[in-house]
Amino acid sequence: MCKCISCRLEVDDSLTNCPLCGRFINDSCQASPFAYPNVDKSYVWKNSVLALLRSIMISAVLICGGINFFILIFNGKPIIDVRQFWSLYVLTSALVINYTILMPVEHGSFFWKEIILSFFFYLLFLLFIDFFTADKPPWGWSVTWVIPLMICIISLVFFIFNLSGKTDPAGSVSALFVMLIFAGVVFSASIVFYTIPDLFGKAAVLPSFIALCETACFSIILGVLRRKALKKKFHF
Amino acid sequence: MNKNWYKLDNAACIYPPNKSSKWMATYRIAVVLKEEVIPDLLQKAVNDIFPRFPTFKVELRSGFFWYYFDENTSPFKIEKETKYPCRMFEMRARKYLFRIAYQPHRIIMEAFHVLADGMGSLLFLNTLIKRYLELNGHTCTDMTGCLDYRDIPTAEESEDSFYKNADFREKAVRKEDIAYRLPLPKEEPGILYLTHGVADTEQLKIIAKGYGTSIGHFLSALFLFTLNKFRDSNPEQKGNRGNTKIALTADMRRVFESATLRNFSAYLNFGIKRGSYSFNEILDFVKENAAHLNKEHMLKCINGNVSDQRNLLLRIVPLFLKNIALRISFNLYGERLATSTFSNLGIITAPEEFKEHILRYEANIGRQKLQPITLTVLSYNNKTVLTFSSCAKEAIIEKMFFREAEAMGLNFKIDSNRGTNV
Repeated sequence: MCKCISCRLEVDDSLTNCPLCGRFINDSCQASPFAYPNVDKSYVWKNSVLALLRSIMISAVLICGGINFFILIFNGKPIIDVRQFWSLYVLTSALVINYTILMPVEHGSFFWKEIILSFFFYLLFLLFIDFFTADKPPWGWSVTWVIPLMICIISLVFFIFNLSGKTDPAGSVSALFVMLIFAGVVFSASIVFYTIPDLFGKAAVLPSFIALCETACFSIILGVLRRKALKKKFHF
Repeated sequence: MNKNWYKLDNAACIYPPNKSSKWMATYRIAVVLKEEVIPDLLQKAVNDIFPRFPTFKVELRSGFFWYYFDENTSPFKIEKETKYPCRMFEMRARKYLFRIAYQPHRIIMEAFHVLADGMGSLLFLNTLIKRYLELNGHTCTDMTGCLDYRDIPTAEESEDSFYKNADFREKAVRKEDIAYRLPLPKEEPGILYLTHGVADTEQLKIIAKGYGTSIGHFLSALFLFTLNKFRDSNPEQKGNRGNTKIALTADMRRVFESATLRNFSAYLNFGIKRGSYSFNEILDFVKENAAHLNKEHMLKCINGNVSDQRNLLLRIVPLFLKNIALRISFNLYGERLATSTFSNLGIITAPEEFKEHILRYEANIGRQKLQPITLTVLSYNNKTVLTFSSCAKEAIIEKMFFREAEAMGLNFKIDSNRGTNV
């Protein structure tokens, strides 16, 4: 029987040190088969590394934002060029890294959700570049050309993955529905761009129309094919 | 019963939105065997009993309005335990929400609370142990506390008993004062220490009777007394002036005659104002308050929770917005209302033949979001096992508790996983 002199408690025969106070009991204690095995602590560090990366990113955003803010304030000139807000590049990059790399590593989130999230943050990134690099109208190449193209490609990927049967059918159909809504928004935006040429320049409507049609077709086909799976996805 | 997807039960809805990188509501039940565990037989036993428990053979998916369980067709693999207890579970496709692990002499079941409560998992574990013993060549005919793996699952086992028993007459009042928070330095996320105290049930019963109470009330009073004593011995922190409170949990299956394998338990928070109290004063207080954990209180809790879930406004809100509301709700009415949790599983019912092979059962709650320490108690085969699960760097509360118990004439044998990291 092993007893800790300090705690005055009987401890398991397998323990050489008291688990409550850490005091050495005696070395006559032998490894008991009922004792807890040694634990490999190395996996615990994943969270610490993520926290460190996040701290670095937040610091970078705050420092850049602060410098940008003070330059704008003490410059004394009126803000006429949006490119003066250069710290937003850093903020957008940090958001993209956080949502597309760190969060999936941290939470182990769903595959489709990761793709959708990544998509939206890359779009945000593109919109920022488009917005800040335009000298004067016409601009809006991101809305009129690049984003519709991305919608087409991603919708096609969802469609093929769904038909292959290797992924959650309800997940990819729902993701496709989200893309459909987004395609509708982009198409509406490109029409606005087209109808107000003085403000936005004459933008192309056709790419976003094609993207909308393609996504709508895929959504209808998969919606019919996977109606049982959708029932649980949309249970109320 | 041939269903390949399930809605989450009422209690389970709160857990997925509140899962974070640092916290997930998990618990663990372990069985210490006299013989060494044979992994191959354990794997075969799991495979055999799995079809009997369809509500465990699931993965968690997010729908547009609610989370749901979808059938998981990927093979389930048992694992050798080499990491800290109650690790997080991945909420993604083809991932199970519980794990079966083994040590040389332990069979362990850890589960995410979204799946089932302790009693549901205990039934699963007992059925597993029974099948394991049968495969190991032992005769086990008694069916107490376990299911026959050859039976067809019934609808009652997968029902949401909260929904079934709600009568919507009177709701419980959720508003409570926040509780005193233990100012203990915590370990990094992922680390959980278990400290078991094993005592003779007969001896414990005699001492509890000496105080005119049951084992459960006696131990919960001793725990509250220890927490209060710790608070007295530590200078008050600014902004930490709540009452010293514990959350008592209770299984509602016996009260409402439910056979569900999913969540169906209630809890009650109560506590004492800051000050010095004798053990007898605290015991009287516990006896008086624990009596409130009755059918009436349970029904009020059920009504409150179910009517929230049935609220049309809440139902039509998309899941991502619902998640925000549920996070706020948990932060308001969750752990911050209790200093610690005392969970009493009572006397474990298991087949009579288990006594020849099982040394003891152990159970504990996983790492909590705010509470650095919790206590779980169970009794089996004249052994009462107390398990402190703690993420505190030092075992201060455990030490105080066991010293107080020793002073009352209670002899505990201590075992722990503290100091096992390499």
